[in-house]
Amino acid sequence: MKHGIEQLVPLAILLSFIGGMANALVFHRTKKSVGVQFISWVCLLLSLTVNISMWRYLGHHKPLEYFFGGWPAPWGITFYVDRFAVAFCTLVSTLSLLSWTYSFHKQPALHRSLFFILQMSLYGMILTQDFFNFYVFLEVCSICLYGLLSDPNEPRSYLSVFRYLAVNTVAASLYLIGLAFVYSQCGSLNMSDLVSLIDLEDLPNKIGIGLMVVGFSIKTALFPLHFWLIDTYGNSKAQNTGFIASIVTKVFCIFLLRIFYSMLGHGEEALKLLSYLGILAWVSIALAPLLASKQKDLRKILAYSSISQIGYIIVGLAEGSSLGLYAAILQIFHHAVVKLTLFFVADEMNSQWGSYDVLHMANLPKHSKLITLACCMALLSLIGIPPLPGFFVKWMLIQSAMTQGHWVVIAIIAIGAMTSLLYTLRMIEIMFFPHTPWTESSSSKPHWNVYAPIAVALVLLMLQVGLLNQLLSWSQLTRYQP
Amino acid sequence: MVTTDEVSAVNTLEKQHLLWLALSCPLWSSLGILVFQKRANVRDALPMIAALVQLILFFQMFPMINEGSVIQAQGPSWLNGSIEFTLDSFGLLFATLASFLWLLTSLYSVGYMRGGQYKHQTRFAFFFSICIFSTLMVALSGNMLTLFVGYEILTLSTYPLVMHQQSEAATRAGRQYLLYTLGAGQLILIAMIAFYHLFHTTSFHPGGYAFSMYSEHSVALVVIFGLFMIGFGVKAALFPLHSWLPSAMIAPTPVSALLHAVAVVKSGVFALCRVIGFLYGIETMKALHLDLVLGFLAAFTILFASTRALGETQMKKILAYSTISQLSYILLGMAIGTTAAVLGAIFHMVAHAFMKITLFFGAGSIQIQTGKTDIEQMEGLGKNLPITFVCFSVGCLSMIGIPLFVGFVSKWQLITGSLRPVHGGWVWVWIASTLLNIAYFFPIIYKAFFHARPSGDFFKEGSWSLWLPIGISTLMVIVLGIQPDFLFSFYQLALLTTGAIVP
Repeated sequence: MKHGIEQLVPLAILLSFIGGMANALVFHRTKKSVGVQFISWVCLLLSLTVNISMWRYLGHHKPLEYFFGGWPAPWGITFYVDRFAVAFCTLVSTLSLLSWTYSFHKQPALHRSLFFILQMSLYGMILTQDFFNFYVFLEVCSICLYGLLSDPNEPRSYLSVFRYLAVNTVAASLYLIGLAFVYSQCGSLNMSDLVSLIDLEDLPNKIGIGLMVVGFSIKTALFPLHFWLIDTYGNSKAQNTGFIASIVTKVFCIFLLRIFYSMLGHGEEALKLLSYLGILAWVSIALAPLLASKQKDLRKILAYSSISQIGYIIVGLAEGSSLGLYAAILQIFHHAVVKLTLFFVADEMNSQWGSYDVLHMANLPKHSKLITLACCMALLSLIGIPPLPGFFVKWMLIQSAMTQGHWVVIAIIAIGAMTSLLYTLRMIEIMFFPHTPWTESSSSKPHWNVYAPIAVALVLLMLQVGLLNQLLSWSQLTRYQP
Repeated sequence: MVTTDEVSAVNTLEKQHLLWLALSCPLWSSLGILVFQKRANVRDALPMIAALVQLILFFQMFPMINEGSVIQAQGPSWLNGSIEFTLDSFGLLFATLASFLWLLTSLYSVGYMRGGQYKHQTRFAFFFSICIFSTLMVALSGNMLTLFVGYEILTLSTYPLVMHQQSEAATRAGRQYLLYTLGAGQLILIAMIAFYHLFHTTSFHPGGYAFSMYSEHSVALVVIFGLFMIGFGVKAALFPLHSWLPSAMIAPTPVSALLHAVAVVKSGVFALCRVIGFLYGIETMKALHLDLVLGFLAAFTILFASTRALGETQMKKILAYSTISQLSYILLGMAIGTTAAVLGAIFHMVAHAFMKITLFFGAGSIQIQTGKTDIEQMEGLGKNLPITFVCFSVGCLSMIGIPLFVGFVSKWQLITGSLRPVHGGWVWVWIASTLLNIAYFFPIIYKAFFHARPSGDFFKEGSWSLWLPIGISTLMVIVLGIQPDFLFSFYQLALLTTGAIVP
């Protein structure tokens, strides 16, 4: 067993790294290099295959652990793969394949390289068990984001990226300080080690974890700390933002989930910390859609919508029940696919009609039936129309809240559904019932690489309801084994 | 040797397939409409074929339901919810009603849409089929979740139909409709989950679940009932939540006829009847005094809407207010809860559907042929459009409750059901409402037949696809008034349902 399947664990990271380096090698060239493109495709497809095969393997095997350099837990860095983690890795590789298919031909080489490195850091953040190692990947991820979110044609994007950098640095420092507290108290940074060492009754531990949580509340853009997200998403290219909006903020949610459910084993003290986050999330859910309905730029609408949708994940986590957890997990999947689709639509609008103005959506039904259908389904799923996956998120959240008597959560979800109706309804109305006489703009037929990812995303959205039954088999998501 | 048990099992399986087929008929039709959108005749024939097939299928299933058994089909199931379809007498009644009237309406809408030269006819036909699909889903649902899924799809698919003209007013009506109904959907969702939380099931069970434990959960049950009542009350147009219906009359007439008199509003009423009869049980409702709440609200709606109808001069607005008051007949009947009242309430779903569709078809034909929508303009039109106006008058008379028309059958039951001393007060509501009905329907008939046409312009009847459906529905109004079991055994189905839910 020693040199068996666990050697696959770091493979996805390695493949993304190779892809990134290969693209970096040719970034000074103006012409495209066929060889590098070939390598990139191979890397993406291989990492998807690796993840899927691991997922299948873990269906009837125990979770895997990988020790870097052969150093065991307290000293070396370990990666831990259970079915849950590998499901998210598969999500990352699927979405990156879709987003690469969509955008590879129009990305500058530097962005292509950063895209791969970003993927690498995401895999790392999902798999690692070491708090400090997480921090390293976090910084790698941030640097990639600074690059990907700046758009040379949009001077404002530099300002917003700079702001993002400032806020992000604060968040990362908070995390680092928190980590120092925990380390000083427990003497270890390995999660499976900390399971037995950490005790939240100790004040320093509590402060440490609390600081991390505050850091993550900035990173996941919960309500009062959301401003950076609107600016950065609203000023950069939708082709990059799509991938970032759909997966990066989720990874922090996944890490929160790891800390609270796998490491702290949802104890009472821990849940109290999470419930503070939950309160911020209530505000996000109820208010962000209102702000979204005021925007003209489609990217900003989507940014506000992201804020409210991430709120649902956090509320699910804060519930502290298995139903709440299922809801959070399903919401991560659901929102990732929905946002990717909608940002593709935004990008397609920009490349056809030259701006991200939401009024351009009136052209969509004439432009392409498939894109319109995907867009509609995504929007309807956002409001939670049955039997789309968004509905089941709410269904489980309300059930969980009802079992525990969290009446505010129920009210917030109902209010959130009503307020999100405002912006989704507006977009649907613009698409199908443009009431001011809309002069139709001409458009060229989209390429296969626009159609294909959107079609696949649509299929994924439809299939997600089936995930619900899978969730049950993820009961392995219990505490780490020390 | 095949035993009787095995035979019945085979039969059930066969019936199950028939159920799936019947349910999917409107879906096939909507697909076909998209495929044949360039060939208008094929496109418009498809819904009629689908409606006919589906009607025959439901006809096939009647004997089994009549014996007292139900047909069940299991859809996909999730974590703690599943899609279940159950065909019982109540569901069959609603499904048959919707299918038959869909047949008539799709014939009528061909004449109406082409005669009125409406745009986007494919979109119209497509969403119409989807609407019928979701109505069937509501009718055949075996538990609250399935009903809710159908209910929400119904909301969404009606929205493009309301906004069909894409004018400023239509847009406003569409928005209002969607905000009202989707907002109410949230309450239903919460109520449904709360009910599940208490009883660990939302499957429909004749007589309900709640009676054995109503005392320990009385507050929760009252709150949940209130949420259901508000949630479904939007589509059932209960008093403070009714205002979307008159403004939704901006939609093309076939939509108003089928959806705003039968499918959409009736699915609200149907769902509320399911809640009362199949989740709560009439006894529980009475024990918690919820019948008084529902009864007073419904009675107020009846009188309020009839009074509002008196003040309107637009034909479709009058019909809309009349619909609002008639829907509350059904709810008041359920609230009274005696055998006769419930029977009357359930049969009134059928009776009102036939009467109201006749009236709407009539109003639509008048509008298409003459362009007139105001009752002041109806003077003397009865001589120009004899078929339409005779049919319209029959509809009015039946609405008032004259014997030998279908409206009388249900009204008789409703009134006799409320004659018992406990319910005595309700009788005055029926009487007052009847008087109001006379007051707002008679002027139309009088103006049309007994006033002279002011100046020389002359109108004639439209194409056969306009007057044939009106003729058929008028005939049904008369025939069902004499023999309520004619062809579809609606009365028998209503009796079966009443027997199942009334203690």
